[in-house]
Amino acid sequence: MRNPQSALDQPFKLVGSSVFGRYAKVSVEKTYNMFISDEWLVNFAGYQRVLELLPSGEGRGAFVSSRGNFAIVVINANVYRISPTLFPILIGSMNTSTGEVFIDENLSNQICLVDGVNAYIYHWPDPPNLTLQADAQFGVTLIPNYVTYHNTFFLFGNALKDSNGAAWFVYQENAGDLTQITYFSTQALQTKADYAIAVKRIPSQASNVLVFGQNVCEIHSLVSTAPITTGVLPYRRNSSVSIDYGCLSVNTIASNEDKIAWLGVNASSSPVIMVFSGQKETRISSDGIDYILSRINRPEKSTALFYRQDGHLFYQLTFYHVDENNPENSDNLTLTYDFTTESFFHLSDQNLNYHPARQVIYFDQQTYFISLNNGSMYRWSTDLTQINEDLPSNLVESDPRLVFDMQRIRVCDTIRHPKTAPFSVKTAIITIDQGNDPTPGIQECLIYMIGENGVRMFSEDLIQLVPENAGEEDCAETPYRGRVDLSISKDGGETFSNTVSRYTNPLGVRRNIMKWENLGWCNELTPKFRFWLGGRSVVQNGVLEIIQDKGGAQ
Amino acid sequence: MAYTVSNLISGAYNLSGIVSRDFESTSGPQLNLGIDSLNDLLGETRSESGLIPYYKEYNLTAVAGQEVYFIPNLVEIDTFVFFIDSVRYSTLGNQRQKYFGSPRAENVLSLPFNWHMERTFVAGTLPVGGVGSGANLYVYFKPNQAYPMTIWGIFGLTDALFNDDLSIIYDRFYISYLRYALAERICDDYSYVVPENISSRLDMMKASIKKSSAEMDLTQSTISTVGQDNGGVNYGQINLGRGWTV
Repeated sequence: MRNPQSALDQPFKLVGSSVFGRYAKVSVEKTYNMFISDEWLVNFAGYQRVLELLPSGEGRGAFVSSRGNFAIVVINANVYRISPTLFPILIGSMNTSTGEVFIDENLSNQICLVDGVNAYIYHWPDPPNLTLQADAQFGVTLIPNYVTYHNTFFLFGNALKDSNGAAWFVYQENAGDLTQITYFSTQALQTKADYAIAVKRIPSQASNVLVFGQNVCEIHSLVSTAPITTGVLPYRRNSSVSIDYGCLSVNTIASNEDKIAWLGVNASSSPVIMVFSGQKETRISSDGIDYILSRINRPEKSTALFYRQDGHLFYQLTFYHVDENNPENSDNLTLTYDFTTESFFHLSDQNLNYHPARQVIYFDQQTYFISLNNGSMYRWSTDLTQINEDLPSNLVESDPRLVFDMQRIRVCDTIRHPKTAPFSVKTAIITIDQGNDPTPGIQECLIYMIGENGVRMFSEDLIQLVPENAGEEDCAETPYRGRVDLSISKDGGETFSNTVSRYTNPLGVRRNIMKWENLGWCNELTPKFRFWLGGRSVVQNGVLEIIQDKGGAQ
Repeated sequence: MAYTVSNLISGAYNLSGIVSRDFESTSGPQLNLGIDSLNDLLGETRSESGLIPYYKEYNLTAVAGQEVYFIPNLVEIDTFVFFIDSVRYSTLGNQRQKYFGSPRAENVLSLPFNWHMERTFVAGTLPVGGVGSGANLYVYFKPNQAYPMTIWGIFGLTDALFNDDLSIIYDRFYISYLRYALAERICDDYSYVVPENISSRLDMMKASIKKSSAEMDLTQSTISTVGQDNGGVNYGQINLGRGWTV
């Protein structure tokens, strides 16, 4: 306590998640690009572009064949096989060039890709042979909407919206031609009048699959692999259990470990985030998040992924619809749920738009994602503390124009006196890791020459060209210092003040206290921090020194 | 550098802890309350002259036959003199009882060698200068001609406007005092506990101002209890001395 008089130490929740309420007055608590680790708030993973497959377009699907030790990546209409050294081979093209692609592999080395219109098979031991599947069902009673592999079968959800829409399909490999699969049986969604839009293998439950409708989900169990000629269908519905929430968009279905998560909805309920785990489903979204989800204009323009990072299991949900004519109708949001801490967080790119990750793969000891925004692959790790859009090179440094700080923002919970009595905030103090930021210093006079097209100019020896007296040797270097901005709201998070900055210590100076003085008088206070740090962010809860007549703020 | 009244008010809000110096600006209603409080504060110096840092000179001209002169903002007279040609003549200040209660001839115009000051407030239409608060200066004899007259005394501080540049009106130390005093008053207005550091600093400043800024002239002067002064002016002085013998 630095202010003697009657100053009280009032802790505030700098370490927290996105638990905002339906209205700002309830709570504006949000956390962007950070998550809770051992009761500290730390930086979420940064990312770097590592492979450009096409200069523009969108990443549509990614899959790792653990048996083949390669990855399959779909960019626009092109399907690539990626080696562990990130060398791409084009293995074929799809008829569509946009939208999510779902991929799975069976034990016969067949990889099935589904783009919502067609299904393709790639038999990976052979030379490139991506093969469009066509039989009496495809395009007639089955428009493949989703694919999952389960006990020798490929299971297809159905995009048809007619009388056949309740049917989902079971296929198996065509032993005579491994670039083909063969129809096995037709199953049906039965609990409600609905469409069977997807089937998903339930993790950790060997025989069970979850069949998604638009209003209901059913659990089906594999009961027989005998030929259909025996009259026994391979799957049987669990007649004692169903989930009264369907799926709003198959793109939001993702699974990992023992969980399946999706954006749930039914005929009488607005969207919520549902998780099926063990034998039951739960709603994990809060009131505030559910309200936001109910305001999504184009839920089909969404994607979701499930991944584990630094021991935390994340379900990440992105809405990326852009309406250029009516920007207010655009959806621009990424939420991630950490199952480890049971908390939501916001994610974004460097411009506070949605996070670009569409599908994630763990390949050759690294985590990669494909982007919604371009035809590149990105490495994704908490070891990366910035966003680097430059391709890596052993010869030249990253173009500084393509390296961005991450938007790390923490809007804390509102602090109020139980009796609404006003109080004066003398000091706000936070504990923050400092002196460990390896970001290079800033050379003020350094000028990189670029061509008319904006591309950097190099000599034959790959040395960056600079004007005379504007090279690294001519410039004194200012040690890098990160910055933390604080702004405050005294009206329950409706409006915030200007920002007041404090700079972090340079490398090696590790004193870890940062404080702001004289925050004024109020009866509710909402602090908002922005961490502009090139390196990691590691922060602990803060303390306000407040003065009031009696009692304590909460 | 100019230091406006707005600066002073904002500074007082910052000092009080009610408005953050870095995070927010003083709002319009807060500024309005601030200037009201500041003018109250300046007005109070008329009743507590010890907080006015300086004596000032005030010149006026006597009007033949006029006994009473309104001096705006006047709080206290230390000396009062009048001039005939290039010669300055001293006068004698009288207490209320002596001035108004002793016998005297009312029909003689002569040298204004006796005076008395009475604090007053002109209600209704304000006199020239727009200030109702001040003092009436009574002189006796009623002047027989337009003598230049000079007062040295303490004058109350005038009301402030938002854009007044205080740096050309007050010393820096006095601006600082006003900022602390205003901060304390603002705390009162907001029913907010006055920070201890403000109270203690303000007490120190008040003591310092009272002690050294408007230092009183304590030169000793005595009135003989055995003299001829019977509380009035006799006709000998009136008819023969005409003030010159007092």
